[in-house]
Amino acid sequence: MSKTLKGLLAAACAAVVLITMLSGCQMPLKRYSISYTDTFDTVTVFSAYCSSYDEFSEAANAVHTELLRLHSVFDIYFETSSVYKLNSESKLESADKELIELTALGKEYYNLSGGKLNIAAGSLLRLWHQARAEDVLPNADALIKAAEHIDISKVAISDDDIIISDPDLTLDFGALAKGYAADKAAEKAIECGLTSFLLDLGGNIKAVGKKPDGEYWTVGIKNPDVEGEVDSQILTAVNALDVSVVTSGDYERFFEVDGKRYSHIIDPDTFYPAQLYRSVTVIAAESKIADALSTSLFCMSLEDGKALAKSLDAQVMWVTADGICEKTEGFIEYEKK
Amino acid sequence: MKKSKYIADFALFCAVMLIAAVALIAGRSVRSDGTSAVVRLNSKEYAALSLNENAKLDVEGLLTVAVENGEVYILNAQCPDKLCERHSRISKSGETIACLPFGITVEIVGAEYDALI
Repeated sequence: MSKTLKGLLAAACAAVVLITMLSGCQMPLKRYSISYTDTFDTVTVFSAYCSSYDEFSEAANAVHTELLRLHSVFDIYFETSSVYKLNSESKLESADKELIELTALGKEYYNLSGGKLNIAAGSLLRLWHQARAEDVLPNADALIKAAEHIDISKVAISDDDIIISDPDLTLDFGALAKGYAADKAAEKAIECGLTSFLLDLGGNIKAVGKKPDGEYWTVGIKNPDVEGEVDSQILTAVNALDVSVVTSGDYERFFEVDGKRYSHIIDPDTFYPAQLYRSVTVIAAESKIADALSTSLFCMSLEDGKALAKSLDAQVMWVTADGICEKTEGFIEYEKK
Repeated sequence: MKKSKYIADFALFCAVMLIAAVALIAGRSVRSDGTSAVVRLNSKEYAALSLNENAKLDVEGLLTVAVENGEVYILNAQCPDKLCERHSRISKSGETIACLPFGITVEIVGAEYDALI
């Protein structure tokens, strides 16, 4: 064998060893994703970069188990859920710590939003849930009667117990539970060692880490004014790194009566669906905050909403009923250029 | 004599580094996927359809996933509410249509968006 050939062979061997060493400490990461349809009456998509399917599968199971667990705490229609028990007995002793935490958060956001986010409005929301299922409007007198039982000051937390002093008052965590669950489930994925993933819990997005190629997770935000026209469907896209992005809109979970569209977000002051905006998108560090805020802002004036967002260090994009797009300065920085 | 050996060694070292660098960069930029629709039944991947070809896929007699001109929609749903049939057609990466009663989801996967809200 000639010297040159030997040299080349040696070089090739050394290169192989070097590649194995360099890439060996960082296994090539592959993207995996899975979806679930059995929690929070919505679709959950969990995507992550992992070195093996086993690693992904372990984390995905942990995420799914946590979502199922929290769903069984907060589902108002689930007869064995803690909230169902609390609502039917107006009292829950030794309540789950998650339920105490979210009740406290609900009371806090009631004050911050000037009463626009009200977890105690269960009686009112129930009428709208029923109406939506039947594509009719609820009876106006029934709404007024139900609204007599939404006073959140009747809900008290005492040590581990939750006590409701109005037997007709019921709690509904629809505006908070998904965001809270997204935070908790993401913690499970992090505990499993994942560093790059995106959890989409029915529009509550939680993005953690960058992708292995250094790119951000990209969250597209739909244009609420356009339906079905593919090219103009996306309003903007944001780069999400260790934040949550949540949109409240009148284009998902809406219903129509006599050609008029009604959103699923009810203004506790008018007892009717809020009509100020087509959509409100919030970017915040925690999903529970983004979720609570998007619902609150949906019922608040632009001026009040901007002040609240600023005080909570959240970034917001509003699309008003007449299609005007308003953004906080910080929101623009998140947008994909 | 000695000097030329050093040069040869140095050339060898450079060659090794170059080959390693090229191989590493090439290995990293493997992700270039076209857009497709991933159909899942009870969380398990059931099929993946390319958006480049018109197609119809019957999922266990429960519903049919149709691809037409790069858009995906549902027809022949056997559930009572047929909400998935009423869903507008999807085509952008990150978009989903779901049939909750049957545990079926269709998600568009591609490079542009990771999720759409």
